[in-house]
Amino acid sequence: MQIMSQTLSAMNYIRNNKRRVSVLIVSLCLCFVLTYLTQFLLSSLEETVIPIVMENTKKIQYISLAGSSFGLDVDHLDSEELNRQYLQKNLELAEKLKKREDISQVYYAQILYVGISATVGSMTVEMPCVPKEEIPALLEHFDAELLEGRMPEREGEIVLDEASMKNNNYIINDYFNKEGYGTTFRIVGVLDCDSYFGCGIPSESYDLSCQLAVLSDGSIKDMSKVLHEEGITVREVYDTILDYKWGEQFVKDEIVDVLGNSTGLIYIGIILILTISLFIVYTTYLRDRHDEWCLYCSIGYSRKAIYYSILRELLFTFVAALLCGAVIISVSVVLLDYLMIQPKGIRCRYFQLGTLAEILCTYVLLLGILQIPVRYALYRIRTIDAIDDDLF
Amino acid sequence: MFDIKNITMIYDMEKSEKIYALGGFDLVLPDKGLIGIIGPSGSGKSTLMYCLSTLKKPTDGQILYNGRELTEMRDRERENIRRNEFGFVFQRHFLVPYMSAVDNVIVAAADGVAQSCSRAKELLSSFGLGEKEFGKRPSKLSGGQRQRTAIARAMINNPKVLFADEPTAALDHENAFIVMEILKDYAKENLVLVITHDRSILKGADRIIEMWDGCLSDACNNK
Repeated sequence: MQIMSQTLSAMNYIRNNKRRVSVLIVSLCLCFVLTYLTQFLLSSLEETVIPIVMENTKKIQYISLAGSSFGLDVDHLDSEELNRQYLQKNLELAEKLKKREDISQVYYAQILYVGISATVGSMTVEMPCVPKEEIPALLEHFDAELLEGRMPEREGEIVLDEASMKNNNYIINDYFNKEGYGTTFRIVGVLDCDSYFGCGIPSESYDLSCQLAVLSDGSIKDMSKVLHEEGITVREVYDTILDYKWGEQFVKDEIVDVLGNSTGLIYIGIILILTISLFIVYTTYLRDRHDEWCLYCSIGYSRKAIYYSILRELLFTFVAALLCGAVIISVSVVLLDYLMIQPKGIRCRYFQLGTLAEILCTYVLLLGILQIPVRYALYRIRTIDAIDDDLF
Repeated sequence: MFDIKNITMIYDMEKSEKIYALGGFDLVLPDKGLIGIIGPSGSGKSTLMYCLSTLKKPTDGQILYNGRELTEMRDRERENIRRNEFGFVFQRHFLVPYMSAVDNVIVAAADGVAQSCSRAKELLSSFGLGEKEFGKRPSKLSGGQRQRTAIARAMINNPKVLFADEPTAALDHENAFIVMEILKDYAKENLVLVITHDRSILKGADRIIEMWDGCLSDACNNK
């Protein structure tokens, strides 16, 4: 006996049920787009903040020690004497640190804070104010060049990198952080710099606490060890050290973990809603085709042939959704970058490999979950004689 | 073509009062010709058709089809026979609602789409459907056109046996006549089994088999 082809075309259903198939494709596609773009926007925080923290803390470290850490008797000294001795100790420490080979310069500097807002979340970047003659060396250490305006010449004048200027909507001659510092600091120039960076000349009129700003060659990961070598034991409760080690911990605690939790929740929410709605809609679609499959079975198609045709329809739907999603995402990320990311001077990464892998895995899982109604529909297939038995 | 021996079909086997849909009889059917199976509702004619077409397995007895025992075949073999050698016109047309008339015919075809498409159009044309009906869905076709589409689907693979269960039940007299003419024409080269309780449509049939309570009215072996 001649064995004839057992193939049932999946395209027949797709071609004749464009609206139904479109509903599935659009919902899968939208979830893909929504998930990816959410991750893309959230990742701007990661892309922006992690380099700030990790790159800047390699180049410059900040040390703010409590008086007691220097061995000062903070309980019995009057405040004026305490301040004098505290300054003296800081300057002595600065001189000691300058002698190290891995440290090029140490400033006892006023520190300003520049706020950087990503699409979600924000952080502040330290900005040292040093004497006028030290500014060129500081800029060189950060590979920064003046792009626009002029270098600071008088006290209270500062320069900021282009990205920080954009992020805070500053223009030259704006007061820097007017809400915080009033009219003390004024921006006089824009820097071309890979890092988020700024510097200026301290203002004598403004009472701003000082810290040691240490310019190092990038090899210092843990400043506490350096200080220990210089005879100072750092106590986490009283002293603040912003170095590479702190940066790593900060990134883990404040960025990776927090973002991981929130994106995880968003992702699970989206996928859960998609799975439930898709399951319901798809089950309804399958139910509507019961008679069709009973007919196929009666005229000689095997259940396996019917199953493969359903599987091909599903695969077509998923692949079409992913392709459409990829196109929409490609256009969207460029647009979002142009309209939201670049104007804010923040960073983003177009290609989120991890997110793509997660979405693909989820869609494979979804395809697996949809096998439940498919298998049930196949189980319910009977030949037409059985339907007639029920009818009559 | 068919050599049926002591065919018995019992429903509700587990119950004390069994229902004999087929009461155990012998029957031989030729290779070609229009055979009418007639009888009132519940006489077992549909059950006989389903047994012959491998959709149902009889409780007892033998069905030899060209010397092969149908009841002992594996599912795969029965599926192949249904696809390759049998054609079906069901009481309800069972056309796929989202497909055009042509697609409904092609769906049963085993050849390539292009080849099947021309054959489907040829069949539909010969059954009186115009080209503008080819692309219409079943809901846009008249009852007669639907039934003719269902017959075209049954004939797309040139089956050796065509089973037609009440093919004219839902049709007016004119359409019933057209459908029967198509089946008679096909019966010149093949075997066509028409199940009906309307004797008038079997005018010109090569043989009429009457059934009553699961038996052939002239020869009930077992009951």
